[in-house]
Amino acid sequence: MAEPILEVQSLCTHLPTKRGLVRAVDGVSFSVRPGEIVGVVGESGCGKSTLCFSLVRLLPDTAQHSGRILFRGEDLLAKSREEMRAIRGKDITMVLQNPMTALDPVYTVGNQLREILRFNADMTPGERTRRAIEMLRQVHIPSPEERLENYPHQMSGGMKQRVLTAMATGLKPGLLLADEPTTALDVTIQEQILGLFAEIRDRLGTAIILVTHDLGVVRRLCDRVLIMYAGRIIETGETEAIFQEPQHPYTRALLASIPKMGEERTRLQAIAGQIPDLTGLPPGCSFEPRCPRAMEICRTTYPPAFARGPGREARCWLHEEAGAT
Amino acid sequence: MTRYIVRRLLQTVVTAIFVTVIVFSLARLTGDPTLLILPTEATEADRTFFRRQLGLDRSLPEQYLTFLGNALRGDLGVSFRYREPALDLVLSRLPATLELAAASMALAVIVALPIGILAAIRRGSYLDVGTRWFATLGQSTPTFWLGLVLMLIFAVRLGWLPSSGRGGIEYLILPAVTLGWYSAAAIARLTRSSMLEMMQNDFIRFERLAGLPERVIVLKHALKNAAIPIITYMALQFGVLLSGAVVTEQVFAWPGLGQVVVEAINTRDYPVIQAAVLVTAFLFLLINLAVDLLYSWLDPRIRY
Repeated sequence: MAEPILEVQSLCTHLPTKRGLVRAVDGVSFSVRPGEIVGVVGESGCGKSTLCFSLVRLLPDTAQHSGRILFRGEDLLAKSREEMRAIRGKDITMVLQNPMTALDPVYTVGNQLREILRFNADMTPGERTRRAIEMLRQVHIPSPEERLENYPHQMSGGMKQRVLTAMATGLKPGLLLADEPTTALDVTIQEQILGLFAEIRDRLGTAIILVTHDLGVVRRLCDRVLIMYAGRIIETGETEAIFQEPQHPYTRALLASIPKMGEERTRLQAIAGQIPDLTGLPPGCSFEPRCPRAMEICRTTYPPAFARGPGREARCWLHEEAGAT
Repeated sequence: MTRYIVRRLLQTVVTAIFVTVIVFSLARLTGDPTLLILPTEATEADRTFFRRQLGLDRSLPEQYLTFLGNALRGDLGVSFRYREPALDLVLSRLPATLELAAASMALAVIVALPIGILAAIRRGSYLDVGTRWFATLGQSTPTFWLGLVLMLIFAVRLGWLPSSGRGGIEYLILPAVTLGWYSAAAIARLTRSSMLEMMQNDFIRFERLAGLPERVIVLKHALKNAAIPIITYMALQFGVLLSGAVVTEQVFAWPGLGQVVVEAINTRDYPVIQAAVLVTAFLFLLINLAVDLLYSWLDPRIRY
């Protein structure tokens, strides 16, 4: 098995706010191998986006990090501002949720593509233009030469997401972070963009961390899944295994909330209650207040990760007899 | 584009006509000019004769229509006092005022843009707090007071700069600082808030993710996006400068339009008042037209 390109060890990201310290990412560990697509799934506010922005060190200066983020063996938390800037855009890139607002409206697409090349690669202006056209062609944008002269408002949402993907993958990054990349798009366009991601992984061997709350997207694309709840990873495993045999009550509840085709229509299975306030988590399991199978120990002690087969872990006291890893 | 310019120019003419109504009426509220132009011992017969000569004996609507008809042909009447065409009088003083206003604007922009931008990207720093203080103080300092204080310090006490008159660049400094002070504060404040707003944009975030240097993100992307409100405001400030010049020119004996206007009002020299206000209004309208045309260059989404 290949060495992981990214290895996150006990990462904590705490954000001081007026209401208190928000433990947005709280002791997260996982690794990603080259060419692997890892899904990060959870409700809004569970820390998925903060996790991504921690990885590229783009949170406000007040954010407190601890743990280690090893990218190609080097700890990103020990990098200087300028070293991180050099890594961003070239080795680690990211696409955002809303393609409609992610491009500067007052410059042409070509200008913005060439600019990224200018600051991340050593090329002459002529090479930049040729490369920009090539980048647009790679994401299947028709007549890329003409598109370079377009302003963002002259493109559709799907087209813009392609441009952003081109910008994020044009320099063959080792790791692509995709924060809800399809949420703001039409279903048909979503499908195309997901196909594009799969193609990029196959062609460039880029590892992708796909943050989403759409389990359909996860099943379609991801090799492995991390389920996040209240700033922690509560279950990990191969995608199929998670879908077939969810080990954590939260994962089970998430899966039950997807309506299925052909099934008798009943009410949607929502998870009762809300995600807890990240400024004051309970001492025990953070899902305990909403958990249908909560026990006495869940109220007092946070569960460690219990092994549940090869590459599978779940943080739930129900699996205590299996022994902690 | 051409159609838009033609339409805007026509609108400008219509606005200018409204301006003539207002300035014509206001000038006539200052009182009877013959009381000031003729010596106190002049007889009522002299005054009546003089009024007839100036056309002031006719009804106001009649006077206005004559004035408007002449104005449309570029004739703004003859100064009661100097017996010279009012427009020539105004135009001869205009360069001095434009020089002062342009210097003030340049000074305001040179000071305000950098501190506004820095305050925005170092939000909460001492520089930001200082900028907000400057913005508040600058906008609440009366121009005449500031002018007198600057004059007292730099001309009287230190003797570094001349206190009045027009000549080389040294004569320009004190009046330009006095006049530009308010605008600098106002523009700094707006620059700060526009930049703060722009820095929240998704595309700024994406550009950081794409590894662009902060300098490029701020100066190329955020600033150009923030430029429309800032430039609009600068154009409005130009109006403030033109009217503010009236006070500043008095303080520093700057031989510009402001002095002419004050003198014309004091002597009830209707044609000169009218010509000065009309010329100023036209300038202001033209600057705003130019700014509107600039929008489409700044933001490609705006098309005419």
